[in-house]
This record gives sequence, C-alpha cells and structure tokens, in this order.
Amino acid sequence: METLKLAVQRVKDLFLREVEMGRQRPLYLFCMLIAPLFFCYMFCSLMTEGAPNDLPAALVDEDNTQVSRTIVRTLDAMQETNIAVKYQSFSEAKKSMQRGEVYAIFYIPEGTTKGALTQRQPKIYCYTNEAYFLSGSFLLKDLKLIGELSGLAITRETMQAKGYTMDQIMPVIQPISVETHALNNPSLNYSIYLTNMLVPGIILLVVFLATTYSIGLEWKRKSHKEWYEKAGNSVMVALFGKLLPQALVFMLVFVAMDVYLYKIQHFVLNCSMWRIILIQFLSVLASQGFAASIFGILAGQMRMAMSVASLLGVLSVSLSGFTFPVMAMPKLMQAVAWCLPLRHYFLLYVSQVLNGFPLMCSWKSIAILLTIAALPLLFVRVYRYAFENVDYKA
Amino acid sequence: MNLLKICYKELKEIFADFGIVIFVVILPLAYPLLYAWLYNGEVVREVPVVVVDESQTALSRDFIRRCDASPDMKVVSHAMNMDHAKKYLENTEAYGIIRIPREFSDDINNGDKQAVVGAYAEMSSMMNYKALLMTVSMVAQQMNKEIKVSKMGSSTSREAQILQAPVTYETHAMFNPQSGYASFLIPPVLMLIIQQSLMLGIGMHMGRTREQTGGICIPNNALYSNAVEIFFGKALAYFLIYLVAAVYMFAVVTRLFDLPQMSTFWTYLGWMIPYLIACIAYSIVCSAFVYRREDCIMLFVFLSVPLIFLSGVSWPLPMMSNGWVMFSYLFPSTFGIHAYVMTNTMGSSLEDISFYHHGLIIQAAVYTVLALAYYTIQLHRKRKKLKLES
Repeated sequence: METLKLAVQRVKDLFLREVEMGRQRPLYLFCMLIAPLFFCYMFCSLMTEGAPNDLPAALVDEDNTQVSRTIVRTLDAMQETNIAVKYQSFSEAKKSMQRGEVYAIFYIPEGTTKGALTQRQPKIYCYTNEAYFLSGSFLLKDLKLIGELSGLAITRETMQAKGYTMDQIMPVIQPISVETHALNNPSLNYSIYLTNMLVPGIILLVVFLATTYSIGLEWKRKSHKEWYEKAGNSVMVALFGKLLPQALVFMLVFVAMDVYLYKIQHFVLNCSMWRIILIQFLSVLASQGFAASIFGILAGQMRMAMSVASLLGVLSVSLSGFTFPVMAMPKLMQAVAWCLPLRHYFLLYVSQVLNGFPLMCSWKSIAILLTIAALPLLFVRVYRYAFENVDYKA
Repeated sequence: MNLLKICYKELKEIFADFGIVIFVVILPLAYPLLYAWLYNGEVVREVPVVVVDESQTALSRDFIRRCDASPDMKVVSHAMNMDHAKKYLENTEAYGIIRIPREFSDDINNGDKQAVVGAYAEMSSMMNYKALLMTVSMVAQQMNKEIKVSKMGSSTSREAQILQAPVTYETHAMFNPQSGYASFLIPPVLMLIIQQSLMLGIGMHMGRTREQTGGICIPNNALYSNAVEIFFGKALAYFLIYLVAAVYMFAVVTRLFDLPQMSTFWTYLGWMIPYLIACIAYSIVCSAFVYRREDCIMLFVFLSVPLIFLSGVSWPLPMMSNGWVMFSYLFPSTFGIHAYVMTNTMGSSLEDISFYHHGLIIQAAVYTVLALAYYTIQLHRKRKKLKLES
C-alpha cells in the first residue's frame, strides 16, 4: 500500500514536471494541439461539398446532326455533368485535358446518326482523366447514369412521341437494372471517408513523434538521471509520469475533433460518443506504447528512434488501408499493418462509428491495442540500462 | 572561390553525419521503392461479397456465377436473407451484398417491368465499392444484351427495333487505363519525398549548426562571411545530391514498377531544376524554426499527409475554394506534383504546364530572396556575437 501511494505521488510529481516542460516549448505544443485541429478544419473546409459533382468536361460533336444535338442537349441538362467547353476535334479536347482544364471528354463520332437509323448500335464515348484517381472514380459513377440516359436520348424522343411511357420503354432497353446502396454513406461524401481517417492519422503520427522526442530530449539535455531519480528508479513510473500528461493533451485534440466532426459537421456516428472516445484513448495509449518500445529497442538513441517512428508513422497512414485496401497489399506489408495502432483504429472506426456493429465484432482490435500499449513492459531492462549507462549521441 | 569551398565543406558535413544521410540519401532511395511495392497491385481483385438469392432460378444463378467469375469479385457465401448477410459484413468476411429479388426471372421474361438487382456496399473503402459497382453493372449490361438479342427475333415492328438498339456508350480511362492506384499515387508521392526529405535533411543540418554555435545557423568559420556565398554554397551541395535523386526517380523507379512515363528527360529537367531550387530555399527558410537537430522531425514530418492532399491530385482543384488554393501555393510540392503528374502521366508539354512551371520559378526566386535575407540577419547576429566574445 505504502509503495503504491509513493508511486502515485511520484507520477504526480513527474506529471507536473512534464507540464512545466511543455509550457517552455510552445512549438512542441503547437505540433500536438494546434496543427492537427487546423488540418481537421482544413479537410472539412476543402471538402464542404462532400462529393465532386460539377467537374468541368469538354464535348466534341463531330456528327453535328439533329440527333447528335439531341444527345448533347440531354448531356447538358444533366446535373451530373458540367460541359464547360465544346471543341471541334478530339485532339483539341485532349489538349485541353492535358492543360488540366477539363476532367472528362464526351465524344460523339461522325456517323452516329446514320448508324442509329440503320440499327447498327453506334457508340458515343466518354474519356475520363484517370491520372486523377478520385475525380475519375466519381465521374464513373455518374457516367453509368449518363450512359443509360444518353443512349436513350434518341429512342426516348421518338417513342415518347408515339405515346410510350418511360415505364414501358425501360424494361425493353434494359431488362436488368442495378440499384446501388452505399451503406452508411449514401451520398458518397468524400469528407466522411477521408477526414475521419486523415486527422486521426496525423494525430497518432504526432503521438509517435512526441513520445520519442520527449523521451529522447531527457538524454539530450542530460536530465535523464534526474528524471529517473524522481521516478524512484522505476522505469514504468518514469514513463507513466511523462506520457500521461501528453495522452491527456492528445485526448483533448481527439475530443475537439469528435465535437467538430460528429456534432458540428454531423458526420455519420453510429455508436455513442463515449465509445469513440474510448477507442481513441486506447489508440493513443497504444501509439505511445509503440513509440516508447521503439525507443527501448534502440536503447535510447533519440535520433534513430525518431527516424524509425516517423517512417512507421507516415507508413501507417497508407497501411491503415482506408485508401488502398490492405488485402491488396503484399503479404509482408499486411503483417506489418497488423502491428500498427492506426490500422486497428481504422478497423474499430469502420466497425463501430461508421457501421454501428456490436462491440464484440471488434474484440481482436481492442485486444491488440491493449497489448501494444503494454509493450514497453518488455523493455524495462533496456530502459534501465539506458538510464544508467547511455549518453546522448548526435 | 568561396562558394565552391562552402559547397565542398557542406557536402563533407552531410556525408559525415549519419542522421542527415538517412534523410537525404537513404530516404529518397528507399521510400519510392517501398511505396511502389506497397501499391504495386494497382487494383483490388476478388473483393469478397455475399449473395442473397431470393429468386433461385437459372437466370439468377447465371447472374451470380458471372459476378463470381469476374476478376474483381469473389462470392464467398450465400445467405438466407439480408440479416444473415449482414453478419458477414460485421465479421469483415465480406464487403458487399448482392441481393436478387424473388421476381427477378419473371420480370425479365414478362418484359413489362425492370428486374432490379440490389448491390449493397460497405463503405470503408472506395475501391471495394467501386469494384462491386463496376462488376455488378458490367454483368447486368452483358446479360441485358443477350436477353435483348434473344427477344429481338420475335418483334418485327420498327419501334421495337429502335427500342432495342439505341445508341450505346463506352467509357475510357485516359492516361491510366487500368485505373491503377500506384500509377495515380506514386508520382505525387515521389515529388513529395523530394520536398519532405530536403526539409528534414536541411532542418537537421541547420539545427546541428545551431547547436554547435549556440543559436546561430552559420558555422563559426571565416569562410562563411557572405550571405550570397553561404546560401548558394549550401544550396549547390543539396542540389547536386537531389539532382541524382530526381534522375533516379525518373529513370529507375518509374521503369522498375512500370509506372506511366510520357515525359521526355529534358522536359522533366526543365521544371525539376526550378523545383529543386524552390524546395531547397523553402527548406532553409523553414529551418529558421529548428533549434535542435531533432526538432525538424517533430515539425516537418506530419506535414506530408495534408500536403499531398492540398496539392489537388486527390480532391480535385475545381472543387477547392480560392483561399485554400492560394494557401497551397505556399508549398513547392503543390506545383511540383502537378508538373510531374501532368508531364509524365498525361504527356503534357512544358507549354501546357506553363502555369505550374512559372509558379515554380517564382517560388524559387521568392524563397531564395527570403533565405538570403535570413542569412543576412544571421550573419549580422554572428558578427555581433563574435564582437561581444572578443
């Protein structure tokens, strides 16, 4: 009991020491507090519109007949397209795309009308600029609809003139139709998809850096012995006292992000606010444990530890799998992803926040996060060695 | 020639300090390979889905079989109903559900109503969503064609024929035919690596000088007595290293991983040279905030994620407000990324990218002036300090 009390008192002392040190380093607090929130605001503000709907497109009508003009009119009238310019030839339109002015080209070749009248199923074409992946993907979704409607443009006018209704026309032209349901993000809001992961990605990256930086700084300033003594020569007390105040700062950032995203921006939140906060707290602890272990493995080499932490932290954003799915990555990288806190934050976010599944579905990720958080226990002896024998090396 | 002497001395310092070597040599060599390897699969294949077949007819089984046979999708299981299917999503055994309604075959055979297939996608990944949507649409389109052909024979009226053969429609993905992820993301990542690793290397170098001199980022050496010589000497040292890195990215990484390569070497150098100068001068200016060697990691690393996004290759430029576009012009990476993607992926000429090319030249000039001003101030402080000490 007495030793526990003493340990608590020591953690408290170290806590205050850490707060004082933080106060003296405004730049460091800026990275932890202000920068992630600024980027959170930036992402939301950039993607206010949710989905890029009005991307400029070019139109080339080489056929230039009554019929092709009907198709053009149909395309023009559609909400999904924004025909910004019309060109005489395809090569001019392509040049315009290469200058970055348009993201898609609609092309009606010569002979379309003739072909349509002689039942030869002529084609009209759409070219998307897939150098920009996202705009390409979004255009494709719209193009599916546009394709159905523009193909109909000619027939619909003649058939409707003859008194057929759309309900009678569609089953003949298109016996099977597909209805897509984007679960829990029906409008394909890109901000929900990206901001929800980019900001935690930045925060947990900063956790990696701040942990290795603040621990390493003790050696650099030769204050590690003092720190160790104040912790009663206990590695765990030392780490706990140092990292706890930082964890609170990061939780402050996370809660501010939660309020902004889920209360002000009304992003999808299919679990309670407490649950997401708990997930984030676990992720912060795991990231601290991960980074503290890196420092342990490298036996107190600050610069090396920070280099490794930044390498893995930046890689985490890719390996979390929210842009490119992990299952499509090389096997070795899948294994690495499995060990990273951000990957499990992503899995928990998807399962709990986005889809609102039962907590039990995510027990694996929770268990792994807890394990990573406790990882520094394995390196107590290395830390002790570092405290007693290792000096800062540039 | 003081400038060359400074350049030589800087190069010696860089290669003697393993911390800097990691950032300016190893990182630009290894990171491109790592990322290219990571995304080398380009597309997602065999996205697992679960099927709810309420129709249980030859036609519905045909539909499912075609989905399963497509390269992008894999039917992992059949579920009794939607609730049962949802369990597969909960356990991440499937990322989508295909539901075929009871009336499926009847609607097709009667031809008075459209048969509606439901495709439900779990939205954690846009790429899985896209694979599901594209595959199901493609299968539907294919079957539609066959159904129409089989029915065509029976109708003779002109109306019916027009109806069944309207204008068709084809989409083409330009510049990246298979819509590959590596072909899209690696070019911007390469350019970002140049800027970010320069920031880290120069930041660490200048932090180190500060630690040695006690706060001033100019070494205590008589050689360093003129701001112009100091800046261009240092810049030349980094420029030489990064010219090699830039050629390596263009000539080795791109070929090794079969990434798009539409640009000629001279076009590449045409904008790469101002880009390197802009990045170097920008890094020196930003290093004003670096007091300790390791500060640079804390300060610069996390910028990578927002910067790639801010450049406008992901979220399209026309969708950004002017304020943010102007903000993005502060960073050389914005112009560099566009210049690279446009020339090398899209085959644009230097003329086509003149806006970004000129942007880089202006940035190079502005940041050079700022860096010179910074060095002038630092030189002034250095002299004052030396006077005080003597």
